[in-house]
Amino acid sequence: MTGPAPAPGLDEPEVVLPVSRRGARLLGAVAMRVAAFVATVLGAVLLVEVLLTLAPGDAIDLLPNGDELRVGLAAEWGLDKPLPERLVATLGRMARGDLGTSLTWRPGASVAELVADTGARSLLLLAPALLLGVALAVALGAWSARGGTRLLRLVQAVSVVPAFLAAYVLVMGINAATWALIERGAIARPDWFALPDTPSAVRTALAIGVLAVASGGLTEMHAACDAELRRLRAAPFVDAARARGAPTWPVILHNLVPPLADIAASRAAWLLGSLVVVEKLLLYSGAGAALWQACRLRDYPVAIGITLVAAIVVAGTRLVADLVRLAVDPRLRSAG
Amino acid sequence: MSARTVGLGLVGALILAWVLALVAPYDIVADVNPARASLGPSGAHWLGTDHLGRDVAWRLLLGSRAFVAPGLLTAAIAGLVGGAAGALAGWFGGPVAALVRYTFTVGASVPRFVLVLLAGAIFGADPAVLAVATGLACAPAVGEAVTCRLEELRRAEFVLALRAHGVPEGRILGYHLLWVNARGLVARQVLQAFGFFLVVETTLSYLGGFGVQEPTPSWGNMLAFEFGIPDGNLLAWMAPAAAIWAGILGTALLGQDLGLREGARHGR
Amino acid sequence: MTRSWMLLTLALFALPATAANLRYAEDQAPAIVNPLFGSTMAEARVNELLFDGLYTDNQDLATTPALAASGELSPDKTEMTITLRDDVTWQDGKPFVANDVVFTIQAMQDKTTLSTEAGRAAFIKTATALDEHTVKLKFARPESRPEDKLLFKILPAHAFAGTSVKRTDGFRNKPVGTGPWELVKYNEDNSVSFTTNGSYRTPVGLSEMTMREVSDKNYQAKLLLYESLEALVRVLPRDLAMLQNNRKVELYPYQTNSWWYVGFNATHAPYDDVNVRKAMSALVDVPSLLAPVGTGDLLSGPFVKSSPYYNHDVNPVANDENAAETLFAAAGYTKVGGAWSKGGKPLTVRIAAHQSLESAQEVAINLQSQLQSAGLTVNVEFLDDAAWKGRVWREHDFDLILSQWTFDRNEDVREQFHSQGARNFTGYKNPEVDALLDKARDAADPFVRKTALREVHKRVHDDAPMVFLWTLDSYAAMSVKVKNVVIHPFYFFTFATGWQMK
Repeated sequence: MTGPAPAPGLDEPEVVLPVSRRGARLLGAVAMRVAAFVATVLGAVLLVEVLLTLAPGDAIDLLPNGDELRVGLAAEWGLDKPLPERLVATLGRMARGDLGTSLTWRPGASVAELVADTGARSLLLLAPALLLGVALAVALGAWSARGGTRLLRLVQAVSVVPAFLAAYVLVMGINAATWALIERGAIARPDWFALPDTPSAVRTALAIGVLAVASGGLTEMHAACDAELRRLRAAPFVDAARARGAPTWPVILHNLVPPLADIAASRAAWLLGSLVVVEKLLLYSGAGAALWQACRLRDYPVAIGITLVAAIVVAGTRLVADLVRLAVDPRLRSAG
Repeated sequence: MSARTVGLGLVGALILAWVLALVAPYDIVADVNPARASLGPSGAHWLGTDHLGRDVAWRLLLGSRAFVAPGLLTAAIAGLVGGAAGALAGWFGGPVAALVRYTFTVGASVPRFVLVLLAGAIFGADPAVLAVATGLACAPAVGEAVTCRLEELRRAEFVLALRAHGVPEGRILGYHLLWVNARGLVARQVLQAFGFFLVVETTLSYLGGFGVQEPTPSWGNMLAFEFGIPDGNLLAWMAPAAAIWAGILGTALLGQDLGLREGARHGR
Repeated sequence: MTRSWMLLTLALFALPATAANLRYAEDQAPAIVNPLFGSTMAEARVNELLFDGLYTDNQDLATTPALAASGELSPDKTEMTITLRDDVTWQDGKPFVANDVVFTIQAMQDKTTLSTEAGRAAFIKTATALDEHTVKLKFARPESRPEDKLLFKILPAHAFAGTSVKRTDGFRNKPVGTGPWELVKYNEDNSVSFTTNGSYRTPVGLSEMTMREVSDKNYQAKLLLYESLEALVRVLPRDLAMLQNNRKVELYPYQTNSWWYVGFNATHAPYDDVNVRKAMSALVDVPSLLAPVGTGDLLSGPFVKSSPYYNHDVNPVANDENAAETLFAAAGYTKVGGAWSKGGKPLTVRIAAHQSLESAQEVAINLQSQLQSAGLTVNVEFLDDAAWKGRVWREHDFDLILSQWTFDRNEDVREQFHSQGARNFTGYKNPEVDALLDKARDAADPFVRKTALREVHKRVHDDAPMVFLWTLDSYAAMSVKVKNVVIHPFYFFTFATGWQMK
């Protein structure tokens, strides 16, 4: 079950079950979630394949003498079969672990390798961006609890800038400023100059920052965290801690983990969309840029392969969040 | 100045621009005049001209037309489709809920930009198509929120009380649960979808020429057209960038305000 | 003997080729480095670095021997005996032999290879290796200048299992050529590194090259200014002013054999009526369309102005509204309320423009404005590559198209204007032009070919299946650190062995 936990007072009364029954229920709950995960991934893959096939023009059209080669290439690439047959064939190949070879983007390259390479590079952006977003959101939430609305407004104003605009302006601005300094002889030419052409830690950091903050990402994260924080601050067990004279923050943070896991999981899907934009703008060769190219070049195996991994990431984070919640929240274990 | 005031002000300006654009005596096609390309602001052209000689101020005004109506369409679809499906799932539970949630999760697993890109490729890069595609891409978020809210509330005591009083199920669901308890939530999500459409349209215009097609102006394609023109009129791209920023900020502030009031009502 | 070879080798290494790395930008990295499957210009340029053909262009763009040492054409022009150079080795050390040429031609022609270059070898009937360094080619028809068609790249027979080559073949990971550079590796950031081929037959000035993929056009010129790149293959017209004024950058103009056009869809009404086509041609103010985009030559027919086939007696269609009115009237159109209409229906025009064609947006919008102010209702659509092929090539679903054709040195316009031409999607049919095109193709005498094609120019101009727009001046930009720069207008790197970098 995703979304915020049931509010106290509205639960069904707790039922205490014997250990073995609890274990079986837990196993059942986990099994169901795993099955849902697999079904989600399959659904996403099929959705993208159907959409791609419906789009006008195909991979063969992109070759200069495509019409002459159509018969042979269509057979070689499996494009001459009707859609349902192709869907079944795709699923069959994936079940055997074969993601196929790229058709037009990197012809002949193994899709599994391409996806692993680009996926790893994207993960290098995605994971820190998620963590950074959560950390910043919680920090902002704490700050605004003390009534600091001006910082909040500033962050909001900065955060709503669309990612591509933020990336472009930052790149051009940083380049221009650095170049001015270099020309004046104030600094030596840095290794990372000029963005975004040279791969460097600076470029990666910029990408992570833009991902975490821009297109309203930080604002939304903060809004979600804020709602949770308010609820927790008003919770009876926090009042109890306050009455005891103990610091309330450890209690709040501990109870913040499951909803944060949820929020992170729902943000992951959103971040994937931003990833496409940020990677394109910063010339970062990750899975987002690859997916864009694959759709443009009608390279079905690559597009489907990357969608598969994206769906695994999204559904996977949800699965992990659910499992974390099952592990951490004792109420859920017994109520199933 | 509270968030609500600023938010309402910005969104109000947007709506005003849209209304003005509906009656604007400006011919998009006829205004092309390379002889007066990239001029700075002047009496005749308040914001100068772009590199085909077209008046930036008029195009900025008309650009709101490309965004407001399709944005409202996005919001409507996200709200109606997401809300209805979410209500079904939240109310009936069981296999219906599982199926609906499955559809939502599948839709959410594919990056929204890619879904809209593919829809644009299949059905043409028409703003209406993009609006529908974005609406459908945002519907899962709305639906999930509604489902969660309903799942919390449907076993609540006041619902049992209403049932005991003989209130019909439909009215419980439609009025008491959705309208009274979930409208703020849906409104906030829907407002977000509206803002998201602006982001999507501008980003796709820049990245790949999707979105509203030239010569119809949209803030997104104005940006894409003028970005990186050296010795061009800076205002030709800064003005639409500022407009986009103001539009999204306005909707975000309004949405936040709605969220706060809604949270206060639910004791959070 | 050995000592002089050693001295020569030392002299080669003593060249001012320091660790100079020329970085150049492409919009898209080459998808596959194998001349059999090249489909983009980026790939053509990389192939130019890594491979050689039997013949190549010299700096006057005349055909000169490369891997061939000399060639002898039989009196009936159906056979050619080519003597190959005997001092060439592949980048993996093996010697270049006649069998490699035979293999390449057979691989190109092999139906199961599905090569994009299959058409280029179609004129060769058989190829046989007479000995290690002699090849005999038999042609399907008499060829007056076969060496002009032998520019395709030669591949090593020993690197492949057979003449049936697949795109998935491992050759693309470690390509082996005889060219001046070899591929070192594909880097993680989609860039490709090249280093000098130590055993190349002439000295090479630059020791290293890197191709970088810079897919965002807004960055390319800036990166050159910031000295992150040393070369741009083609500068966007809007960046020209910025680069012209910079002391660190040198601009090199060149003209490709390409021309822009607006094509009519003659397969359906009303564009099957020549009067309508001519009327609309007269409504277009071509110089005004060109001005925001750049500079170039205005054309009146399907060849570039410097081409021997260009008919200078034919003038471009003049922008004349009165002439247009007369022609519309002849076609049965009247101006109703400012809009040209026939039978009560106003004439609505759909223009399809190629999205990836640089500056097509500016031209299409400008064209729409011109036509609309003259009384037509015009809609513009921008199609991406795949949609272009689907809608325009296969379905012929358009009224007007705005695009560009690019040709190699042979400027073979048969595909575009012959009624059976594969790229004739304007639906143009003129039996006299068909006959002239056939005559030009079969002509052994270059003068006969020239005369026939000039006549084609005139006929095509008169039939107006297209409005011929211009050939755009192209500019390459290089850092001033690069010296001795000569650019090949099509392949860019053909003369790069002479380039040097401080």
